Amino acid sequence: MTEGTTSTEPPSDAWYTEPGAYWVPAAESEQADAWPHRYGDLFHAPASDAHGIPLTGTEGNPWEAVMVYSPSCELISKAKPTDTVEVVRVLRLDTQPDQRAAQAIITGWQEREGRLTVAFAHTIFLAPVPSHSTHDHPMFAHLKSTARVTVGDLRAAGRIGALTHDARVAVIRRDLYYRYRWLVPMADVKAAEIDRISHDPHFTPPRPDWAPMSSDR
Amino acid sequence: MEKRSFGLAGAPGPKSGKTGAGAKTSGKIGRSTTKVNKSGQFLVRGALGTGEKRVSSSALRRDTRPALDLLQSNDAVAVTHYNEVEGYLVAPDRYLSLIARAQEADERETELASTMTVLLAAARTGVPVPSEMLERVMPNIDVAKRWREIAEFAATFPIKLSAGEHGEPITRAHLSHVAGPIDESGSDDDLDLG
Repeated sequence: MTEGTTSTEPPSDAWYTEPGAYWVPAAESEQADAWPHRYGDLFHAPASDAHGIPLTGTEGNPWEAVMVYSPSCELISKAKPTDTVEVVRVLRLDTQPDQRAAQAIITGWQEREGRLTVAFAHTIFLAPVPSHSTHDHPMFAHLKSTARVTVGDLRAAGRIGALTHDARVAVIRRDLYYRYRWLVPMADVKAAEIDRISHDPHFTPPRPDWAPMSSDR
Repeated sequence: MEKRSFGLAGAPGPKSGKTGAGAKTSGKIGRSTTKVNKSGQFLVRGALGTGEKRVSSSALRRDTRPALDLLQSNDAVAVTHYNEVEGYLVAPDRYLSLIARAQEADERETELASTMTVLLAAARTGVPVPSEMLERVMPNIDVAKRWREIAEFAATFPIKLSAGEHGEPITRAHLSHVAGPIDESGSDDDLDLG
């Protein structure tokens, strides 16, 4: 992210964090109870949604992966296996035959007629999960392809990568733009997250470095 | 009836003694021959080759109304002083339009400069960002091999978006971050969902 609350650099509309900063290192995230499941985490796709409908593409191929689209609180403390959560389909970037489209998914913008315009607002670029056996390649979440799956099925499918807090800020911002077409500065989204998390005594750790527990509560 | 003279001589005015609906006068604005018809409409004949309409400063002072009426059919009227164009008269809505267009041009220039900064940086470092302009100099990109360069450039180089994905204006919004924690997610316990 190039925009910060105290940065002296010019504000930027850049969408994403650097690719190396997307995922919590597996050595940390795979420790038992070290990193709870959260909004933005990448999971293997369950075979079907909560109603038993197969999660497949238009040609019948199973979904490659899903990104959690429900708020974190629906996944952590009170989630029963039969509860349902929303996920979005994640595809491999190399499934796109149009190289120009693939470039624009990575950046989230493109130059057209001398202007930088938003590109593919219904997608979120996802960097590879380093050294992962099946998902160490660039991907993107397709925000129009949503499904509700049971928490039990999601847990059974297994998490591929835990999104870092920084990358989650970028995902929230992109999601805001997709849903409402409101372009909010990255710094504002992060500041809102800082305010929310640092004042939440029940926030399931680990906390982001930039949102320590506030001492004023 | 047509009388040729410099300025708006003969046009209805306090000194002409001819006023009212029946007044019918004519004159010359700059090198254009003008005529005022029965309804008081100010007509221009024999306009300049460029289509520019002129009125002398003295005629403007003397025959203000007919001169201003020229703006109903002309974008601008040149005001001359000793045959030199010293300024232009424009109607209020036309003036506002010109201001708006000038602002748009300024914004476009800023926008283009901002875009070019990004594209030049990408071109200098050889990063194939998605661009109509760069596509000509960097065709046939293999994204599978070069995705990381693109992603790192996109994450680190400051950009300013000019429009939405279909060219529409962008709504920029700011958050007021005072909400604090959210204790619970919404519960369905009190809802009847059938």
